[in-house]
Amino acid sequence: MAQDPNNPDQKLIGLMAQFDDPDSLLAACEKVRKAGYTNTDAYTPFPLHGIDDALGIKPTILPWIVLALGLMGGSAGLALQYITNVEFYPFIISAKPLFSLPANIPVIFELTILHAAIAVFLGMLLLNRMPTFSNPLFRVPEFARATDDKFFLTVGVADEKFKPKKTRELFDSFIGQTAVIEVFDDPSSNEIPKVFKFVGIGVSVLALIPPLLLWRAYNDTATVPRINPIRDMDVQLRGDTQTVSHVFADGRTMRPRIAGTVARGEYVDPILLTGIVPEMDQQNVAFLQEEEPPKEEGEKPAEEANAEEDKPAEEPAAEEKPMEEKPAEDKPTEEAAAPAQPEEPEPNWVKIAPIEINMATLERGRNRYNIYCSVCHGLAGDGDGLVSQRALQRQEPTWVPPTNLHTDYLLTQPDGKIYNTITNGIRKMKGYADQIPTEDRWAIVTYVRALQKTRTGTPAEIPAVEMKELEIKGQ
Amino acid sequence: MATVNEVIDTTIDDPGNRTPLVIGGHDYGSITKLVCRINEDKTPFAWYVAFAASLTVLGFFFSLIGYLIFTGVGVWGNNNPVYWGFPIVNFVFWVGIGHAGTLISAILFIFRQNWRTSINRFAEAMTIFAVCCAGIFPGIHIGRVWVFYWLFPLPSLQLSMWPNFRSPLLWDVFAVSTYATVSLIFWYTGMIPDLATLRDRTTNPILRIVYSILSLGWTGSARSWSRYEKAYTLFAALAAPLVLSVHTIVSFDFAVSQLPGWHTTIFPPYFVAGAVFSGFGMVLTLMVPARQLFGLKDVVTLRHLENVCKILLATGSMVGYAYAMEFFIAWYGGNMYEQFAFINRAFGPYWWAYWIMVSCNVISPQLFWFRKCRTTPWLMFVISIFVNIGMWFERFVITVTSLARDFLPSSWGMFNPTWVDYGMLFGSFGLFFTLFLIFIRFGPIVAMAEVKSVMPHPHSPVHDDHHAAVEHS
Amino acid sequence: MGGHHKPTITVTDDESIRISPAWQSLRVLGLFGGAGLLIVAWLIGKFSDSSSYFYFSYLTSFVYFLSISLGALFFVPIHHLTRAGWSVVVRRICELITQNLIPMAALFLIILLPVVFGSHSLFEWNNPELWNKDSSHYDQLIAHKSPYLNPTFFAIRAIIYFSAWICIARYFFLNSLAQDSNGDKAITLKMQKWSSLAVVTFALTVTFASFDWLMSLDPHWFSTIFGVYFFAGCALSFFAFLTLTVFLLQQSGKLEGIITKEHYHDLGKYTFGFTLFWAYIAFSQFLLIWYANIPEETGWYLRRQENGWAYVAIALIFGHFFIPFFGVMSRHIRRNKYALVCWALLILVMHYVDLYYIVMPQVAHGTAAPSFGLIDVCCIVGIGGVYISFLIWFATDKPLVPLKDPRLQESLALQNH
Repeated sequence: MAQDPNNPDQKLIGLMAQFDDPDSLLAACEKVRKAGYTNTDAYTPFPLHGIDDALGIKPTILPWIVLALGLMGGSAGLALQYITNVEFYPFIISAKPLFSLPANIPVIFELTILHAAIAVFLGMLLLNRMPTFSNPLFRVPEFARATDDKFFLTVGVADEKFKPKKTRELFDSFIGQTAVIEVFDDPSSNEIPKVFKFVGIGVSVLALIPPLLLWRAYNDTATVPRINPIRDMDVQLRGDTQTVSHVFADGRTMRPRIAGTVARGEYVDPILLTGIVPEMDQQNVAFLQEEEPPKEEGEKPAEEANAEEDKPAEEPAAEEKPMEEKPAEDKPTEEAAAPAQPEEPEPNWVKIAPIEINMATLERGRNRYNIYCSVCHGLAGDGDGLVSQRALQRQEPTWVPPTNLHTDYLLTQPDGKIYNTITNGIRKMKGYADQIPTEDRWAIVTYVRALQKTRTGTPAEIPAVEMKELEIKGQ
Repeated sequence: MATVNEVIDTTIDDPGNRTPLVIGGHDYGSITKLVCRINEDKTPFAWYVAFAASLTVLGFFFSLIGYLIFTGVGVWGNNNPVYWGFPIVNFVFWVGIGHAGTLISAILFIFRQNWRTSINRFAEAMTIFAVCCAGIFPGIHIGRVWVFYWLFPLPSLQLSMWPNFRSPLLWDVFAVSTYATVSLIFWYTGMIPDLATLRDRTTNPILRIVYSILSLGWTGSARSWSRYEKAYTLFAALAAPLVLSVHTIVSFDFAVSQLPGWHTTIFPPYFVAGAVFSGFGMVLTLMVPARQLFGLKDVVTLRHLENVCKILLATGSMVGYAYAMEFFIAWYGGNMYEQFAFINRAFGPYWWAYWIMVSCNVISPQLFWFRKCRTTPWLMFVISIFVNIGMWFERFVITVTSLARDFLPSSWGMFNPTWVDYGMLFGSFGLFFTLFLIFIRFGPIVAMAEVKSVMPHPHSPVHDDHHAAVEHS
Repeated sequence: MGGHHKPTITVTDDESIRISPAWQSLRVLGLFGGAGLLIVAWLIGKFSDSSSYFYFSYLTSFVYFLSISLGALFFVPIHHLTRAGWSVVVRRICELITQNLIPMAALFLIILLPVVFGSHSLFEWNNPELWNKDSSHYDQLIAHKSPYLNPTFFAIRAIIYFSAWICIARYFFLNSLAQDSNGDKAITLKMQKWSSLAVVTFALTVTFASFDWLMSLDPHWFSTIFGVYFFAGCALSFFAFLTLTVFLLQQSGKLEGIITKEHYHDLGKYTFGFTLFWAYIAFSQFLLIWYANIPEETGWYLRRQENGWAYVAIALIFGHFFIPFFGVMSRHIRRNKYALVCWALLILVMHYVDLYYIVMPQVAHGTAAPSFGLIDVCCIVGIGGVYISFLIWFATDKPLVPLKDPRLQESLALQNH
């Protein structure tokens, strides 16, 4: 017998029969079941078909656990995708709707299988009470061959029907049985050895380190990754905007314009830009000598800057400047045509637009005028645009009615001054330099001139050929 | 079963009598000895040599990965327009190989193909290791390897970003990681009884502790077996569609795009057939020498090999069918880009890759129509090598030719692999064989319990008075 | 072999393995009733100004029954190729189902003859106007395909398909019958040898037949997976039909003890597996086309999502996949023949819906809504009647089990575990 004869405290826990072939075991199992034993088990080196019936083993509930977890995994997959891609981080990509069920099916499927498979594994272990490293059977030397080529049948003493002598007789009567063994309880303590405890505590403490590191990283606000092996994209010999430079004496990375220079390709004729014919001695150098910060607007930064820079140099907008603020305070209800006292001499406005004037220019001017100007000034320039009509209708107290473009005051103004008004604004009207490119502003000026001509023109000014056509139409 | 030691030609078919799966007059005990001997005998010198060689190649592989990480993906030949070069080709190649094991243990199990028991353990191990090799390539292809966890849906305070679940590349992350996990636990579950056998036999105390822990206290109880078998069936039922899904999703990486040669609806089943084909090719490549070296000819009989050859023939023909469908529909569809893509494959700058692919994948397995080829191990070994080569080239043809020549001739460009590309392809075999050699040294390479379960029961004393017993019951 | 000694089951060649004489009356009723209904359908079409509708409906029903026989034509060679043991007891019934490809060939003439005589009411491409560069109806794509899609080649291909199928069907049936009398094992070996060739032939012919008869209904559309999709439907409907047939035979008191719940269990597994396979293929096709969103492909699905067809699509997703999938998942259902046959009926209905969804949206170039009507009923019942009638005719006086198949005992002793 396998048990240690020196230990008298051994407790019998069952009887075990050994067989050399599976059919004998099956026959014995049938016998044991028919004798009414239920606390039975058989041990075989491979799954023996028919033993479930022979021993009366009930089907396992494992499939239901797996189905439940699989469905849970699939639902979790759907929820995960919905929440992250629709709620947390809505981002249209490859023209797919935020919630695209067909595209979500692969991940739902994978998560269903993953959860179900883990359920199979853990469920099987749980139901089989594995891992169990200590088992009284392992103390039986013969039992080592249960995983090799021997077959065993056990009946536990816990069985109601177990009677030491009668059961022993039954075991002896099995056909093909090669040994009957008494199995004793494992007398060793169930206490976990101290080494394991210490190791366990040590490992648990060490196991806390990664989550702590993660927690720290999670709350970190560093701008660079913690681990950054390839530095060549992060560390570059390059000055960034708004940073300090050690190369230049003034410590500015963003370099100012060099005095007296014009950037390549950015020169614009000052008359075209400002509408003012400069005095001979000034000759457009003044503004170049001033420093200026770079403009955000990429398109024509120089000219816009120049337009502004002109002011301190020549004060072209001096007469308007006070005007711009005053109307809001004074609330002039009159036509604001009455000019304030000009303290500064009028600049030398260019008389006629410094651009080539042809039908294309006029068409362009009409197009721009209709887009930008007509909402206030009206399509025909009578100062009755839709915005104005609406404002008057509502009796908006702060509304300054737009100028009628056909007044004498405007008729006599030089082109340069009108251009300046469009560029820098006047009274309530804002400057359009940001929105309308230089050439287009001049085109608008020429179109305004054409509009005025419709009221002031005489039949004599019409070329004879066209006059004829008009007469024919008129009749 | 009669214990006569006569040589049986297992490849001869006798309808009505099933050919024995194990020959050589083995009983349960001798099967245990046959398989455990490989683990228990003194480690052969040849193993050390092979292991040292594999380890060297593995070291080379890891050095290359280090070089890549610290230098950047520019060390590869990947360029614009061929963004997906060798790394993706290698990834698909290894994932494909990783299909055989789970397919054998799941789908052949479902179809009650009992011959699978002799080769499934071996093939499953191969699957796991191939998936390891496969996983590395997209991992290092992301460029910034140290933030690989961005692939997973983890909450992030700094970025407040989430992965895009509408991208097939993310499906791939889920598919491959699920497949690796499920294959691993399936493989491990299958090994538990055999690890218990090793535990009960080993005399080395350290190994005994290792095997005890790994076998989780398995006793072989009938109640445990009952749940274990149910679990195994469930694993098979889950793994079968999973196997199909993995290469299907890999095919989606290509097929959801609009690129000519990539976007075609047959891709999912075609990729799966190709994966099974390449996986069985690798099984044959490893199995033919292994059964010779480890003396497993009684368990892995010629008939087992013949069956693998037949599967190769079937899947190779399916791949051929897919090639034919692609060509026919490219013409039938009337899309000039699609037509160009296929003409370019066959006659363009990469014509050599295309014809290597066709001759290795479609033509070479046709030799298996002849019984002589199916029963001559060295010949099938040679053909299986061709299959491996051909399937690598298939992925190369698909990945590179379509990217190199797409819609606009102005954006065409050739792909020139660098020495790092070649080195990594070579190095990945180092990883594969290192893991494989460790396994065959310490693990049960044949599923002993399963082989025993398909062996005929030995003569039993109960049969002597069997008729009496039947009448009584 | 030791272990469980099951008492050997003997199959006696008597009335219990032959169809009951009562069914003979169905033979006449089916043939004449079916033919009558088809004429009625044609007449309704003719006089309700929708004669093209009749052809579409006829094609749906024709392909429906054809696909069942094709499923059987796949199963028989596969049975031999894999040396299957479990399915021997049902193999004769499968062989009988394949014989119906002969009447199906005759029924195909109703589709083929109008094509040969230049009608393009069913197949839009059969219109020389479309191929003519100078015509105002010139269609570049259809002209490009005209070397393939033209009536002559179409007819030649149809003849090739049917002759290949009938050859395979007759070969395995006649050899199997021959074995009934002499029990020669060499016949099994011979059939095993030729089965591989049969499977290859089957794969190619079925693919191109599905291209010709279903895919070319929309001549602009193409999908490389379409052959596999059609095959998945064939196999699934065949297993459902086989389950139903076996069930009806057993209800009339035949094959008792020969086909057991173990065989139902296996049939159920195949039904389950192919339900999944069909969904896999259908989803793959849909996803790739939906995702890439290329106009030349999406049109086909777009047409099937408008005018109420979206409801049919949803019915397919649930009725053809989710409901039977969960229904047949349980082992208990698969082992209960009454439950299993209910699911088989659902699958047979849904397979018709699937084909209806493929064919009918092409009526009037995709502008028509689903309108299942009298013509459809007459067609399906009509062809069904003819089909059943011939099935009974082929089965008459033949044993429903391959009596002397060397693997019959293995099949009889089948145990699922």
